Amino acid sequence: MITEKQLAVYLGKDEGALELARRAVAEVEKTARCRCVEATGRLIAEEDGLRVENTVLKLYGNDIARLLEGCDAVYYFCATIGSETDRLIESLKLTDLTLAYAVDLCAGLWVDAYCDELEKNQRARLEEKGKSLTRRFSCGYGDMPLASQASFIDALKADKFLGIRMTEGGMMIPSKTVSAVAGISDGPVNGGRRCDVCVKRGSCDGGICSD
Amino acid sequence: MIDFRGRIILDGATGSLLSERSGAPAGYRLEKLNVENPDVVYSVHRDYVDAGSNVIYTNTFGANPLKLGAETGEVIKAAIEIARKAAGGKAYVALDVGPLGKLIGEGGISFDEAYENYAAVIRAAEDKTDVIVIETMTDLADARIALLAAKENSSLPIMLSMSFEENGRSAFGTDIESFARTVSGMGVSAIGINCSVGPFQMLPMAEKLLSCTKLPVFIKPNAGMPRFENGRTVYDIDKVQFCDAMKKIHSLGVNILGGCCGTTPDYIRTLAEETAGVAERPEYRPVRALSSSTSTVIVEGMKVVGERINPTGKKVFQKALREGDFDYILAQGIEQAQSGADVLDVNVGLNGTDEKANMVRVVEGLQKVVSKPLVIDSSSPEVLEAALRRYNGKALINSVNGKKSSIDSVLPLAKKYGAAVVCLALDENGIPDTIEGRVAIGKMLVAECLKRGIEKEDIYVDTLTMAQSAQKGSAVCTLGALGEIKKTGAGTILGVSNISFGMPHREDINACFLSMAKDAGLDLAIINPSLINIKPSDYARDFLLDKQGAVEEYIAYAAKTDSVKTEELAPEGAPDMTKAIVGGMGSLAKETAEKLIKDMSPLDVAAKHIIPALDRVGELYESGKIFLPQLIAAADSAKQAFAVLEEKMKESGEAEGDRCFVLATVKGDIHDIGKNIVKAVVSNYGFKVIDLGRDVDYKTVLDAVEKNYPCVLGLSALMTTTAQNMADTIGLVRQKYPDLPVLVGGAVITPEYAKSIGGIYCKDANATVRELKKIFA
Repeated sequence: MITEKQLAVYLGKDEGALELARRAVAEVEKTARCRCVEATGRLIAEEDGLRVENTVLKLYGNDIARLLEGCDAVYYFCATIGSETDRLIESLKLTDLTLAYAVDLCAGLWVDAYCDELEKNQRARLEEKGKSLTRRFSCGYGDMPLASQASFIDALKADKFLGIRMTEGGMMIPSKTVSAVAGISDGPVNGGRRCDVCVKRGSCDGGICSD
Repeated sequence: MIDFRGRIILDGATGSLLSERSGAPAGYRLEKLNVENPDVVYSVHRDYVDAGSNVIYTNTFGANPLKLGAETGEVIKAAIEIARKAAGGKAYVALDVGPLGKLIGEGGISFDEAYENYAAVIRAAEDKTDVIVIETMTDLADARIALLAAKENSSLPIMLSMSFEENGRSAFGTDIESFARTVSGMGVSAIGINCSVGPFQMLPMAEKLLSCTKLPVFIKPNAGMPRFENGRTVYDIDKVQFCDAMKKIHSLGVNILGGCCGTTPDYIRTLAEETAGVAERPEYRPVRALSSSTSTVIVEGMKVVGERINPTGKKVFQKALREGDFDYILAQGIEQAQSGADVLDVNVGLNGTDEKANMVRVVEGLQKVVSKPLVIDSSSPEVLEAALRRYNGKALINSVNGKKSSIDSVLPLAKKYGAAVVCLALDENGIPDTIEGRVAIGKMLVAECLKRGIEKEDIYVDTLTMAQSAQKGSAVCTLGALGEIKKTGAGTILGVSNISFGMPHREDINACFLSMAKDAGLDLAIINPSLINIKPSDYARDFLLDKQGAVEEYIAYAAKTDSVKTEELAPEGAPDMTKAIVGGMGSLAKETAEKLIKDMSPLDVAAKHIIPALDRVGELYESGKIFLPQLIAAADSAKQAFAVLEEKMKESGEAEGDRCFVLATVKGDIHDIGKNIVKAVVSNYGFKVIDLGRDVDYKTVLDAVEKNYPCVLGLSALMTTTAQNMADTIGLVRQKYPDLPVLVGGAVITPEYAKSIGGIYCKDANATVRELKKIFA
């Protein structure tokens, strides 16, 4: 899902870095098992924010509200590459810290690429019906609280179907797990860049994110 | 009483039906309906009872304090009441316990917190159901904690099921076999698989589960794979397809059947109608197995137990333990796993450190970074239990021995935690010297295990490896006893490396002993895994078999490899006594003494000839040019020379040296080879040695000091547990003799520890001599 060339962007492009990238990709390929629970639901506006109909999923914050302007439904999901890669990273931390770093980086990109694929497929399905899909948005982006992750897990039964657990600090375990929501609309949707709500937008040189 | 060997129809989905009938949104805590809308909960239960369910699960899947807070007790009580009413005496009621939904361990809630939450659920139910069912577990840690909480807070039978994905692993990576091996010995009445997938995917899983446990098995699949549509979960197979697959599962020998997410009373009715009768299951084939949460090792052929997580004799490891450098310790585990260990022994006993806390930390840490099963190695039952509680797998306990106190404290732990156990062939009288003696203790321990319900395949007898250099016939005795034990059908285990203690090129001897032990039927070899590929040498084999002249041949072989020239030991021009003693030639030493004594006093012979020879031996030993057998042989030769002098002194009425050294291996410790070497060497320097033996009571030591005062006391201890007894002995003696010098030594004693208990550290026999010389100077 990720190639060593993509990874080399972060690790450097000399032969040593490429070799490290190759090893990292191979390790993630061996351990990652991409799975997801995905759903669609109608949006209801409530006093304190938006809610997905028939679920406990509330979408708080101005940034998500802006993204979902003009949308009457959402596509939401929870995706993970599983616990095996976490175990590998833990083990590498003790024996080969450089590789651990590269694998961690690669695993993060891996789950993102998987989410890209889910998003792309859903967009294609919707476009067949003449609808459109915004880009995805996750808890912790902009002003959508990280704590909302718990309601994604509840609404999607991601604990039961994917074995996702929350740490006390609100992080999802396995660590390479993403929950996200995207708006569905009959008309065109906001095409805003992810950078618009990124906390690093002031300091980023624009060379890393695919946006 | 539920007959778990009979045919039982469980219920189907409760959550999906409750959502539908109550209109609650996805993600709502449906357990609250027990209080808010009991009628809808009743209707779901009632429909399952009418459809033919013999056991219904209470609506308490997520009813725990972490999800429902203070409402938990009320919700659970209401749930049981509703289920009882709906069952109407026609079905049994099971208290349903689902996962807490929190990460357990680093970053999440603690083991104790998780336990308390499960215990609160169990206690709230007050044993008012017929059975407890722990279900849909994806984390084996979670499952085990729930199970322990249920066992320790209830007397009801327990059913336990985990949830596996299509690839046969739970979301946390547990495979079906490791689940079955781990849980089967922990006192559950039935074990099962539920949720995640449909019955077609569960068919091979059921087959696997049946082959890994002799317990009754239950299967409760979803109505196919889930899909979410506008807040509703939809499943893809109907009741006919569901029951077709379930019939196949039943015919495998699974007699406890039900449905999970997406199944309805209709599915259950058809299931009950179409799976009548008790299907026979294939005969269970017992195997020796050890498991982590993600992998199982079947002990067939010899398996390797990595021995390096152990501080004994390892300075860097000891430092890591003292300084809390757990990464170093965990890395040892990873390295051993990578170099071929099948199982890892974990021993963190080091005096002056908190063994229990360290053990828990290392066991928890290792489980995150290696998938190999662990051997929990400690002499303290308290440490063993702390580790067993937290170990998410089927562990091997190292060890129980033939002492009654050990049997009574360790075997109940093996039984309770479903662990396998190492039985050491020693008892109150120490380690028997004979094959028969060790076999007798081994057999007695096997019988004790069986009596307590520990399965035969979970028993490994250790016939004990002793240093061949210090005790001739050691290897033959160990292996002979091993062969005898093997015939009884019990498993066998040996620490291999000890055989070569005190010898050069230890890896040669270890490799050879390993190969011989393997031939004798060894199941588990505790060894440095990097040694498994070394080809055994014939010299080592002859040494171990006590062949004539084999010690010398082996040492010559090793010396050649080391290019140490033997003449270096006692050069051409060296005095005869030096040649005799360094060469270990007792009769020559005696003859030389007899010659010398004609022209000089006995004390001069000792001071000018024997002592310098012994000093030379000491130097050679310390520089690694000679080894333990030669040291002992030299001491024995010197003894023969001394005997000549003593005889002469008696004749002339000269007094025996008044430099007295009282020596003992402390209470509780039966490892006395080191002490015996000290005795042999020290007595040659003209000190009077009072040897009190091993496992010596505090009072006996005090009495001996009183009798021989002024004197010096020497104490040895080899185990971390007995190091404390060393401290206590010193404490008692010092009450009366505050200035008494005490020399201490032994594998687990460090200079720092020695100082902390008021002793003078001696690393070996030569150091003891140096200290004694200083004290008596």
